[in-house]
Amino acid sequence: MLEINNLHISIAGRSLVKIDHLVVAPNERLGIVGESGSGKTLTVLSILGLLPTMMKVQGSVIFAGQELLGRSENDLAKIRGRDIAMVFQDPGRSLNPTMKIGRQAGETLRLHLDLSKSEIKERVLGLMHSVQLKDPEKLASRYPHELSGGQQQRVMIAMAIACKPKLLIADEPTTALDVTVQQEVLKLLLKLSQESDMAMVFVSHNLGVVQAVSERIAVMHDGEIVELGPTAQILDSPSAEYTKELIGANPSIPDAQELRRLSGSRFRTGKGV
Amino acid sequence: MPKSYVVCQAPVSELVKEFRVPLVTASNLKFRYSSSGPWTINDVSLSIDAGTSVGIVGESGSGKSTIIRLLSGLLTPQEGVVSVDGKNLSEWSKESPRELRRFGQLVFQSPRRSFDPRMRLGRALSEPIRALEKRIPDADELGLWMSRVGLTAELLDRYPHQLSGGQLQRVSLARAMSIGPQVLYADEPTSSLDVSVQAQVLNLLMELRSDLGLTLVLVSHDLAVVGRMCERIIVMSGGAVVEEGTAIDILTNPRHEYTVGLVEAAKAVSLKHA
Amino acid sequence: MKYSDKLTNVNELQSNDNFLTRSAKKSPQLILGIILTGLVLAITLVSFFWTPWDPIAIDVEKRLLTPSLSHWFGTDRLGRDLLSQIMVGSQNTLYVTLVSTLIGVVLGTSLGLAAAGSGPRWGGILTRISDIGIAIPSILIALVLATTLGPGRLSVIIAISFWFVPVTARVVVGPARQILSLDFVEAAMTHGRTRMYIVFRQVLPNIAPIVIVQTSMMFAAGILIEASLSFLGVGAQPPTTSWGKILMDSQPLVQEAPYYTLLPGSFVVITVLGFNLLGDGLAVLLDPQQSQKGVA
Repeated sequence: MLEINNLHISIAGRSLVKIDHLVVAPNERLGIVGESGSGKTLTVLSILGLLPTMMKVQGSVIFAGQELLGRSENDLAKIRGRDIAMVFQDPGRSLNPTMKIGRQAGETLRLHLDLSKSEIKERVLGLMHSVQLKDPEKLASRYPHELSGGQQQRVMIAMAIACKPKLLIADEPTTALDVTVQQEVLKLLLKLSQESDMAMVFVSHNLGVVQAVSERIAVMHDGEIVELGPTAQILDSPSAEYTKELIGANPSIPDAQELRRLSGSRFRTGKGV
Repeated sequence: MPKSYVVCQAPVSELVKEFRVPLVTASNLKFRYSSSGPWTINDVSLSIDAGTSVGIVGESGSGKSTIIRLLSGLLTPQEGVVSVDGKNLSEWSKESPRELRRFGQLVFQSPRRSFDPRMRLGRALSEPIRALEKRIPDADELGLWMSRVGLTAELLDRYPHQLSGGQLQRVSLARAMSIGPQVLYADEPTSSLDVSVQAQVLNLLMELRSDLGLTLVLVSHDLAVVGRMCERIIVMSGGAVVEEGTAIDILTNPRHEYTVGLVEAAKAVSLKHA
Repeated sequence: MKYSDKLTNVNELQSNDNFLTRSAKKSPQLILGIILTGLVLAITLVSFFWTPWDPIAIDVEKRLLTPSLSHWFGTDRLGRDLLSQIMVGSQNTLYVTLVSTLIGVVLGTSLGLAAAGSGPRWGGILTRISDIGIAIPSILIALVLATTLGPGRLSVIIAISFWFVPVTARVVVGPARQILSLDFVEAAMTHGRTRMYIVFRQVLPNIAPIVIVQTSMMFAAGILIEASLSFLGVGAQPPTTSWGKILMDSQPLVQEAPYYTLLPGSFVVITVLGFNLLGDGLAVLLDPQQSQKGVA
């Protein structure tokens, strides 16, 4: 459904991203992991033509049989929000602070579909319900700053899935949230993707998060895909050096055995207390 | 430097385990930022023993960053008392503020914001010594501290924006340790760093701790980090202490409802090894 | 290499030019501003040593001559060489403006820093005081001073400074408060630095670009105010002259001798423009370092 070939993003002659081949199948969840500077965000931005103009993009990004790179703004605008949707990291900054939630949530519907006002309103409430927001009517008349981070992100997700896109791109959607909220949002994304036949590309630097939502992982480092394959396989038996380092650096919560080991070991004594 | 986690909670010495002496205690602290608003810290009492490493965990709004500033004396509570080494903090702060500053130092979350962008690193590194020991450290001394944290002395001539986040955080560790404090308060010291750099900085922190017999108070939202580095964990929520205990207890057998939820969520979003 | 490293390196890549050409490319206003102000300052300096004609030499027979080869700018209503008058007048204008600006910047910055560094109560009080100061136009102050202290340079200086101080304070307070909220200020406190030290050694250098730009802008404004005040007769008194005074003299003769108004007026315009461009150009040049935020 989405096929990236020979993608080359550069700025002033400096190569930033170089991807030979990457495919996302329909209704598949792909995770892209990497640290800052790995090029993961640039890659997904290039799919929707959202890269800063000073960057040069070469190659091919084919979505549903059509080439996306180099398309006009008008064409891309029709695709964005309708066939491909995106959720960003900081919901507080992605929402218009002067517009009520209800109105914002209906933006994509208004843009892409021909519906009456009442139809839109109904759909918006339904959407808010499907992202597990309580009291949708009340929330719809609030402003973004009156909502918690988790609620804001759910609104963003609602906006993204409004037109039933075939592909959802999520760029670090849970990084700015508290851990308990992260868990809920991840479960929500997984559920939405599975239930509505929507493919998802999930970008994050957090391996644990990517492990929870994706079936396949692409590990990126310095603009290139270093390893690609099924999640369990890559995480259990990584082949690339960098992947091994990344796994080593992503700590899990120590279990009882490890905790006992940690607390029992000794260091040489330092200057006394 | 090893890139994966090798940190250990280990107490400084077996002896210390026997004679646990409370070094920093808080009694019934209440604090709020504006004179009429919600209490950011609502009746918190806790105790930190000398030579231990204690983790304070909580989500946003729990008050964990505020409590560390109260314990270190950057903020003054409206009610309650902070005792440091047996002395009342506010009295100590009035009588000999410099001695108080030498006792405990802080490391902040964002290394970039912790440095004056117009000050060269060599100068920034020497600030505590200049202010608290009233002397100017020479290049050798500064160079020694840089190598202690795994950096080269030539970086002393650079400006903060020329170093990476991980490097800067090491400099801020060196800066904090340079006057030999007894307690180090670290407020989310690795949260804004890349994952692969986090481990390095935390390992460094533990090395310094064991070398210098430091008491460590680590604030973090990351249970994995706290579980590996701290012997005791204090769980905060909504400005109050919800539960506290040894790391083993909290992570394997949490009792309070909030802690249970927190641990479960943390496990769900962290890497599960085979 | 981190993406953010890549961004800054790109900028460094393009600067194979030296500092001057880089500055010129970044802000052409700066170069133009330097040229214009340099010109004016040069003329002023020269006037201390030499003027084409004796500026005080009154020669009624030669009054109101149009510009010619002997008198480049013509003569004024008393037959004095206009160019010499303008040159000498610039001494006064620039002196008054310089002193007022210095007072304004020094006192204003201190006031602004004090307001930013003090708690909500004092900070609020100081801000209100500066608000009041900004609201009162200097011309009003000048007129009041003129009647009490008498007209002349001192009144003008006091009047202009009176307005400059709160304006600067206002400009300084915001950024100063912002800097004070940054972590490194907290860090400095943990290192045992006093608030005074932090304000002057850490905040001030970080707001220096803003202050510098503000200074040049105020200088430009000061020239205009001085000209207005002298025009109203409150400023320079004969035999000292200033551009405003010349304009005042030329006003009734606008139709008879247009050059008499246009030429000194142009000088005012060029000088003000020059200083404004200078301030503008400096603002572009002294922009804080590229922020390190990358996109990846």
